[in-house]
Amino acid sequence: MTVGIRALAYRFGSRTVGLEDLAERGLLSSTPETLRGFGFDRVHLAEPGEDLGRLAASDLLREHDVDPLEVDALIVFGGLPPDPVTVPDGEEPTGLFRYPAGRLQHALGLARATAFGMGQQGCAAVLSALRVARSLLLAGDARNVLCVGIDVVPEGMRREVVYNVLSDGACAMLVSTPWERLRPVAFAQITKGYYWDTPARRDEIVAAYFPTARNAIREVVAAAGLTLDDVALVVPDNVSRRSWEILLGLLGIPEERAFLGGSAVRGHAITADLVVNLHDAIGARRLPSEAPIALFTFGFGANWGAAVLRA
Amino acid sequence: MSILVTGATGSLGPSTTARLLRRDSVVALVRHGEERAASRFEVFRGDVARADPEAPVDRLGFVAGDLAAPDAGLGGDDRDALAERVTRVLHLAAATRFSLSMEEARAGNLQTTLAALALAETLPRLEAMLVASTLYVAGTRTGTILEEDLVETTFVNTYERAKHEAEREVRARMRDLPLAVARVATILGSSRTGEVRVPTALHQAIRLAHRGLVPMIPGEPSQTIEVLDAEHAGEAMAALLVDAFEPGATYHVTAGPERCFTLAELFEVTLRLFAELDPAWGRRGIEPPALVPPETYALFERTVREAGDPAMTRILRGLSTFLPQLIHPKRFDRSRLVGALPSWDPPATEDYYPLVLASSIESDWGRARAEASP
Repeated sequence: MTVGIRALAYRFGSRTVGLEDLAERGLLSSTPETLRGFGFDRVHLAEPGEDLGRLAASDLLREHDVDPLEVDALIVFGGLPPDPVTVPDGEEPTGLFRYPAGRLQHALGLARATAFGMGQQGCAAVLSALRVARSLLLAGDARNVLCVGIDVVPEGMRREVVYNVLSDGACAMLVSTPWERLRPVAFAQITKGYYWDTPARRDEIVAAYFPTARNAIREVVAAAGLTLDDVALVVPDNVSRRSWEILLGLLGIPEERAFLGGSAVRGHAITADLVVNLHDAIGARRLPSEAPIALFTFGFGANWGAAVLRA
Repeated sequence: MSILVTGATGSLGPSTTARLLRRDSVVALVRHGEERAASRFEVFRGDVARADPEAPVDRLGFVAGDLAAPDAGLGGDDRDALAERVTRVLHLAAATRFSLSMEEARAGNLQTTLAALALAETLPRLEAMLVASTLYVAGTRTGTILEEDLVETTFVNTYERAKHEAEREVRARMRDLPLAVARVATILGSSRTGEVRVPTALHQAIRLAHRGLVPMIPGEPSQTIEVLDAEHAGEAMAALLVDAFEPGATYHVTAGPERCFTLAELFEVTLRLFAELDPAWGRRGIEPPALVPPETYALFERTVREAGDPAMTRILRGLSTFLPQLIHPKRFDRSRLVGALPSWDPPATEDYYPLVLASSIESDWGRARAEASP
């Protein structure tokens, strides 16, 4: 049974804001020049009420002519926690049970789909969603799983986090069987609970990031029965381009073999990044058929996630 | 007759003094300071006794002085007494911090050496003077470094440069004075107790690795990390000064590559020992630092600096006085040392490193000891 990624779509927030504007509004801690040096150029902010997840998923269903009733499962994920819910004292706490997965299932008309959420892995949730989707398909429990990632930074919150600038974005990824293209062949996820308290462990996380990232990528490539030399293309997340230059240096992979073109320019859209770049790499014809593709992302929490796909 | 030791209270002082005492009486030059020289000396005498319980400490005396002061800060009576008694001098005094300004490093190394040489010139009975130096007067040179080499080069830190300049001065005086130079490896700690008397930049890097704060290290994994235990360093210094003194000679006092870890081995063993010695550390899942090409490290360092990350900038600044040495792999020839001390047999790093790490962790990297000291 073959499982592959059948369709991809993404949306950024519709409001584009330059780094200088963010700086003026006190939403950056570094200067725009510094962040430009790291590869950032602008960020995208969701307008109030802009439902990026629904928009990205609708794009996917429409552009790829997918009948909503074909979707057997919907996995909704994010790197940021869902909006906090408050219930007034003394009231029945039913308000706590209002889930984005159910709302999205209804909004998209996925009447046959089982809907559930995944999270608590930062950006790495995207690869966990893909992994779970693949498992559902291989188990024969579904034929089409729609994964939708949504991350919107609360209004007024600083946009810079540990050398990165955050955009609001959402992605949709339809994982199907039988499907020959973009087949996930190996996953590696390194979770280090010691780093769960991100503010308290910030410096240690910065120190742990690169050696653990290198290990995760080596591990997943080995699990796919490959060597780093076999990897045709590395698809990065959109953390700073600079950090990818360093990581590629650690791995000994030349930059030409990474899809760094758009990396970071539009900001780091948390869980949507890998889908954004995979989508754009396809558009740029950088994925020769059957070529091994390595994906990597890091999520606070702390999770280092990697996957190998066969294009 | 007596041996005069400068810098006796430093890293090598107690272990070397203990071994000198087995050969002769010793006079330590103890700096004037806020504390009285006499009380500093009492602490030092205790350190010598701890370094070697068999050492005859009743043969240990002191004079109050200061190599940074005119006439070494010695009173006339002390100067006369030294001239009467001293036949050998061991010059250990140094400022070993890698982060000193060039001016401070020269003051603590070059100027003190010049002062020690000037003092030596006033000792009519002088038969031998051994000057402690560092292997890293070789600076950024690579390949095999011979003991007689003292080649103009560039340096990783101000300490290396100042020691190089001091050695040049020593060599210039070799025609007039009975001088020899001992270039000593990094003292890792005591092979008997594991105690680290004076933490070096290497200890700092290991401490930061214990805290999970070293992301990467530039260097050739097969580069030897030249270290020595305090006891054998002390024994070598004492023997080179007293038993096998050869004027004009320079020695590489190190255990040699076959007994030392490579860079890759050092961190592999270090992290394994952290997990064994400190179960709480083992649960953290801290990865060993990545050994990376220099250009990758430079890019990381630049990124941290540009981002203005205060904590990581501070960490990298500390490491930067030492790590760049690792990208200049070298092998220190020690033929002359082996010829002079054929039976000197220092332990391999792996034999006493666990003891050093255990002691470091137990003392919270020396903090507990520092707080307990008077």
